[in-house]
Amino acid sequence: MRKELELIEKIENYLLGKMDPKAKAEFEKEIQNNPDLAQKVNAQSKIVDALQNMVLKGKVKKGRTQYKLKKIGLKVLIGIGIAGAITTGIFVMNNQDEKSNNQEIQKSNYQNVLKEADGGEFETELDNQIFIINNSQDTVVETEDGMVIYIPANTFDVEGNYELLVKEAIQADDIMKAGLQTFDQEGNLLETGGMFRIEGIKNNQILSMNKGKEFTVNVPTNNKKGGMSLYDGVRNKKGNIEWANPKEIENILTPVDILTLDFYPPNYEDSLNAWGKSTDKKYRDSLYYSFAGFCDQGNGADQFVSNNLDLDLGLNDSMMSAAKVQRTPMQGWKNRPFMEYEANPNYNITYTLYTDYTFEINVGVREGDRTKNRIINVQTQGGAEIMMDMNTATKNPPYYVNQYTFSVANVERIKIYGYYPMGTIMNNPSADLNSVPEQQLTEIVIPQVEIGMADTAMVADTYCNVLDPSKVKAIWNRKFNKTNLATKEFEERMKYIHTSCSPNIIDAYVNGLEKNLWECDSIAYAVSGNSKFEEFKNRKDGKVKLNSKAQQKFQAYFEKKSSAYQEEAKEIRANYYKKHQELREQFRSAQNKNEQENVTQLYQQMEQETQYMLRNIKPTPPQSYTVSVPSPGWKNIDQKVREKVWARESGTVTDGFNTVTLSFSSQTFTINNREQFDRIKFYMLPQEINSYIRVNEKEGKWTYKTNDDMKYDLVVIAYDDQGNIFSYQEKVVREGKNISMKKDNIKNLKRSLNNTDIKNEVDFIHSDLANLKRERKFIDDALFRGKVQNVIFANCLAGEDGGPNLFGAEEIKDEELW
Amino acid sequence: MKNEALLKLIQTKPEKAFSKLYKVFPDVKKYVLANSGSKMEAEDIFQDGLIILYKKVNQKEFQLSGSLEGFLYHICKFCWNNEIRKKEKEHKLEKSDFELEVDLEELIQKENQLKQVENILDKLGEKCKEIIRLFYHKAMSMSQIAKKLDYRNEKTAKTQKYKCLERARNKVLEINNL
Repeated sequence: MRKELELIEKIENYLLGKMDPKAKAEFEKEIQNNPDLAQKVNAQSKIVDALQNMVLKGKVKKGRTQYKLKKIGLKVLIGIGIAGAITTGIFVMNNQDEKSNNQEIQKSNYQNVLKEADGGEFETELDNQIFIINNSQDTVVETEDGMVIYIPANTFDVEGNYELLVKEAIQADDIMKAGLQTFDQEGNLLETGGMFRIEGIKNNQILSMNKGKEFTVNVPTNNKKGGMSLYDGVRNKKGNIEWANPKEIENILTPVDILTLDFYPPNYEDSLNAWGKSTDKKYRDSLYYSFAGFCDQGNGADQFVSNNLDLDLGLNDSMMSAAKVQRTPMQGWKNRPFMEYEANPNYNITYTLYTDYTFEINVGVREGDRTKNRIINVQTQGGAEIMMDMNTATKNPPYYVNQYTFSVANVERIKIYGYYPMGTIMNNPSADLNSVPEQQLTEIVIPQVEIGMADTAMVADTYCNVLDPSKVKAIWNRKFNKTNLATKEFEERMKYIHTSCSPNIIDAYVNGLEKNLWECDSIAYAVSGNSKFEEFKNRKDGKVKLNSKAQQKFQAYFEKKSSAYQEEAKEIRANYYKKHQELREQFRSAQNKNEQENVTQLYQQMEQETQYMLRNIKPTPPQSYTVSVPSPGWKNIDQKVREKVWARESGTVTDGFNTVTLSFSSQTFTINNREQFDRIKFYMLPQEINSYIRVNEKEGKWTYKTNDDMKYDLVVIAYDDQGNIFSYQEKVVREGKNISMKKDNIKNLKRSLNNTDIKNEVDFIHSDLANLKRERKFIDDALFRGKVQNVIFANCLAGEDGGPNLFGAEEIKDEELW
Repeated sequence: MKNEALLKLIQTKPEKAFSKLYKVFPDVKKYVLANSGSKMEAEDIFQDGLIILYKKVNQKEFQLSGSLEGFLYHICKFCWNNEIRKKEKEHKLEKSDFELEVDLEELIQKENQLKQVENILDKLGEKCKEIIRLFYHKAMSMSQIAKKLDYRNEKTAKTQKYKCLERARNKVLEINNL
């Protein structure tokens, strides 16, 4: 050996601890004194370190393979020695860049073995992947293209290690490159899912397999097809491979993590994306699952509808004794597209009134920013029927307010048919109807009919064959990992399970976890009649192995969970409606109170104004002797003045003793951009008395006959259902004008009006504002849920006689709903 | 798995422990991807991280305060930040005062040197690789190796091995002197 090689040997011995202590000490001394030697030792020790590192890296790779195998569910095979795999990454794989002689020798070694066996050189373009396998152990290897091969112990009749040679042509370009053809022996063209060759080799001999032993090979594919078979390659005279002995592939399904699959109804996510909704999975799950129990009757939501349709017009007892409301579904309503406004009513609401009077109905219908052609029927019990055609009415500004005045004698009941997305009815309090001036009619808000909620009531006794989201929730979790359901194959089926309008199809799969997927397909086909399932059946998709005990457990779990989720969703929905209802009732009582205050306020105002007009009246001087006087004179004046004040009528009132002159001038106001506000509150505050007048809108105008003896301050407050608030204040208005509202906020408004007579009004406005906003959101939510419902239940909702969908077949745009 | 059990496992059956620790990989991947890395780089960093963890754990003075998984994640993060710094060639030297990180940096440096050496070994011819593998990894005696690889006798095999080592060593010396 050369001297340098001897040094290397010496360093190796030193590094491996093979030196005796004496030699070691000497050598260490030498190292200290000889920097050149020190460098060499350092370099060589790095080589040893690196070699150790490589072992470690092999172990890391092995850890990775095991992790991946575990992930695809081959847990059984874990912990089996992967003899060759430790070093495959380092030594065995052919390095394309390196053309060293040694490598060529190695390659040609195997090539020679194959040459001898095949009687010629074939498929040399495909790399020989070599794995060293210990024959006494079960082994799993993963090839470069991701084939996973499971080799049981004693597959070959050899002692110790042997080499496993794998050639693979999984990718199309490899197949082309290798010139492999895809004909069977009859010359039929085959469609390939990949080709591979596996040989055991020892001492340059190809080994034959022991009887009863077989490899299990997992070939990766992106596009799994049914009817695939495994062919043996038979070399013909030209040396080309022909494929023979087809054997049907036992179609084992590969489970993946179930949470990576998509079990949502088709179009659900696309629709949410199109509507710009959050992509958060939690949100999407909870939205979808919130429809659980959809077809179930008698749940909270249903109750809510009936409660809610027990409409309280906001008329309090002092105005109307025992206002009674009933709901009767009209004939044939179920078949009508829910959002369509038609002359045909959806509900029949009956209010019982007890007084005969003339009244005005002012219906303001929220139109977003435009109006639509709609008709609302108002019918009286006596048979008088008034048609209100919104379309003709909207020609008069402001476009969203329609006013109709009609008189009916002996009215007992008023029936209102149709839909009121947002509406108000002007009515007068019953107490002193005849004495209340026309413009003082009290505003009453008709609460919205619960558009979104009626869906549940509506489907209750109609065709509702939807896949309940609770069932999806029950399976779409990691519990079902490693079952048939956690496969790409089942994911495909889910689309059709959603759209087959056959609620129990899914049970065929859940109850058949131990069966082949295609067997479940055939049940699904029988249940649903959807030929798509026959197609699936013909693909002959297999199963993920599962024992029947586990199957029972899964089944029980599914049943328990899906009904629990249904209850849960129903409860959540019921609570939501209940909460809304509570808030709404709270608001209604505030509203009632406000109405009462308004009536009282009106009387106070009129009385105060009357007293003000009588402020200079002197009482009749007392008599000094007893005379019987029939009546006190000024009281007559009082009565007449009061009447004129109420009627806002100019003139002179005298009792021959005192004279009062009354003079009123009419002032008319308009508001800029009227349509931008949902509510406008218009107040005139006479400086001379501690009271205020609330002026109501009539045909887009606010008109009031002011008393010329008094100075009026003006306060206007306007707001919308988005929570925006605007105000206008002016001291001493002398004449009518067009008002431009200014943006304001409730806090500021409260502060600035804190010392005025309308302080309480501002408080009510505050709660009205919140209510309006909440009701708006409630409707928006309901509409949104309506849209979602239409997407997720697709065609599976319809009238009993197979009529149109709840929301129409196509997706409905917002503007069509409003 | 509890820390102690996992610690023991990493010392006795590292590959098993590695496979368990692989569950940290998705987090590391997320981190690397979020910090301008690729999936491949994430995989590399993670494997480096595992090795550093292994070495760290096998140090005598090793003491673990948190979970092993958390520690691994920390190491990987550190490795990747290091990698980025290297990439950007901005040796900002944001060295923190933590003893651990200084320590980690040393390990990483050493690891990088070893990688160069591994590269060198990988580029040796197949015959060299095989003889070194059998000797160093399979702990086969030189006479067994001679027989297995068809060398005339033990001595020829030995000479061959030392030749291979020499070739590798010279290359290491080369890069050491750069």
